Amino acid sequence: MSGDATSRRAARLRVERLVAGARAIAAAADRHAPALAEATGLSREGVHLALAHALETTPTDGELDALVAGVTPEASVAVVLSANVFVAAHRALALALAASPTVVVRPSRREPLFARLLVEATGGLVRLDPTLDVAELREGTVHVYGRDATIAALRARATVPVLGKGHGLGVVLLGPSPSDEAIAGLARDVALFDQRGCASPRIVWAVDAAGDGAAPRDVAARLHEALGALGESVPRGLLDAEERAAVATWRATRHVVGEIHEGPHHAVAVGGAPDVSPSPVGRHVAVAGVASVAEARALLAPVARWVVAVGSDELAFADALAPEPARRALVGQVQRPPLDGPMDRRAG
Amino acid sequence: MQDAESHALHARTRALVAAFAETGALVPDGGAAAFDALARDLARFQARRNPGYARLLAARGLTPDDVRVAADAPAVPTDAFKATRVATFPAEQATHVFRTSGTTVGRRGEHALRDVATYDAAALAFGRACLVADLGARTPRVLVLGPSLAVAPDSSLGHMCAAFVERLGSPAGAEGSFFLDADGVFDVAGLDEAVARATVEERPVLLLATSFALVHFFDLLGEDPFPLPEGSRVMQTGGTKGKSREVSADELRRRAAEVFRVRERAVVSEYGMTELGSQFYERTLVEPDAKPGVLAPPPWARVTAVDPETLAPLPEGEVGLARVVDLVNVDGAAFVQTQDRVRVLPGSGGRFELLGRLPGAPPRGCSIAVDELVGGASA
Repeated sequence: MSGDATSRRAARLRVERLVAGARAIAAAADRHAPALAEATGLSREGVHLALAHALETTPTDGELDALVAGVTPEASVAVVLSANVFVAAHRALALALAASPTVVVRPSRREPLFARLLVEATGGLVRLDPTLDVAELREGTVHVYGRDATIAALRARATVPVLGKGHGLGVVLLGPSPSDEAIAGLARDVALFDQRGCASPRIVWAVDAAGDGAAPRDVAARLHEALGALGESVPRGLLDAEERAAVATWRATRHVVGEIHEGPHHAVAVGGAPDVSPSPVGRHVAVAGVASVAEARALLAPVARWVVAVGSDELAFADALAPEPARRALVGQVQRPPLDGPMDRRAG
Repeated sequence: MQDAESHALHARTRALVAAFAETGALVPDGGAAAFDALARDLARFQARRNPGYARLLAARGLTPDDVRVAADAPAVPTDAFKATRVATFPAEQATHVFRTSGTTVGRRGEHALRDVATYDAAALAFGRACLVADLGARTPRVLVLGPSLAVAPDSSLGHMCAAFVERLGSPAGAEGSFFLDADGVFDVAGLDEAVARATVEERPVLLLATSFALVHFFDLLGEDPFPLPEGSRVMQTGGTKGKSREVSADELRRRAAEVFRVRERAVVSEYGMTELGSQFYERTLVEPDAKPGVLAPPPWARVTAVDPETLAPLPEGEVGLARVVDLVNVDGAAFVQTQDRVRVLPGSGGRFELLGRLPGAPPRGCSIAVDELVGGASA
């Protein structure tokens, strides 16, 4: 076995240990859910949903091989999690462990719990350092997950290379007649992390070739029902003050613009011209009609660099709309990218 | 204009403006009751003519007849002006459409008018009262450190500045009064010549500028002063965030006074926005005791701080989002919800401090914040 092959094999074993740790956490979801709910603001059921549907615990051999093959080996990797949804720590550490046997992680101050659980579950594979200062690092690479401004500030202080993985958003474009299964899948994509994920759908369009608004109205009504049903089993968690303020203004705005279907744990609006203003987090969706994929692509162009994932009920639509390197997915799978996906390797 | 109801409402607002122009009294003729009566009638009119506003009322469980006083009427968020047409009349009747400044994200907000006379009368009356009333018979030369209407035909600020040039200044005529070209380049020589002419005529200058234009102008001048004639004054409006290096209001006032060789109290802040028909000013030029940083409403507008989470009014003295009742906006939205934070000073007759935009807490998760999206895309 060559040196490269040996190091790739070792890298893969490290990632497998991490995935096993994640699997153990998911298996003990009942035990961890209360603390994770408190730390994240999600409901306990929302934590369970995330662990069940957005934590990759069963990657295929091919995905793991692709993950390891796609990274540049590093002497060491420092991972800074400044703001992420909680399970993202898993993906971040997987990428780091694929690149290096020496990984240290500074968890998010707001939600340090899941990173700590992972570190514990992997038995010392990763070192946890809540006080890590990137300015003091003299070798290796830093992977920073956070706002563009945070990444820029850390990059300015660091003397080692900094790979920034900024915030993003998900976009969904539905075809002319999405199935009930697709609508239910979209509802789950919206409900996961209460829409705070990098790939969470914040912009939802429906192809409305007739231009009479019937298609987006139909999608909105059905999505309202689907989110209502989901909200009964997976209630929305807590919104913070800024989020509640954004919701108050958004609701008033959407009443002026068109119809709004409101549920106890969500709201779906429809009406008005399509644009790229994201709806607020917390299971809020504004459905707008677009005449064609071409129109959608033109609308999306100014914000394309932040688009992490594009979902659709027809992959051809997602393929046609998604800017590189955004992930394309069927609705229902938008929040569950394979472990080798572009979401993990995108860097800025 | 064929709409008798709108015409009558315009006439009532213009009567308020005319009364103020005659008396200078900041409390409307007839007091709060007269204000509320007109606000009530505007709310009912706008709900009948604008289905979107009717829906907003209905969402609060209200019919138009339930609105008795201004505080009863829900306010239209400024975001709505970007997403839909907020007007009581068909688009083809618009004589003016003002648009918000563009970013590459989202659409520009639009404010359509079909009778600009009320807007002009109100802007001129309150602008005169806050910017030049202390000059008595002396008529200033009005100069604009901004683009002309030919360059920015849909700018409400440009429209107001042009009206000030035409109606508050001397000699009349907008030509040669704007000193920023379409490429954003200052005509410093032209401005210098206009100031020299005013100096020879012993005429004070009223210089109108956005805050970020002032910052760029000061950067261009470096350490050089740009003295204006004795008695001159500067009106500055808007913030600097994202458009120039950030400068605090106090620093900008101090620097403007220094560069233009005017008193700090002669640097007057104006607060307005495309979606509104009314403007708000500091009264430092015309009231010896007026504090810098405190904005006064005209008798035809009222600002209330509201809770950002419920949009319910807050007691005076508390910080909240500015909700503006604007009786000039007869055919648009007389009740506008902004995203600007204010504190209405208790017992001040509705005067308020402007405290900037709602601060963003670090977002949970990694879904992008709207400010980050807009800021990044326009950078």
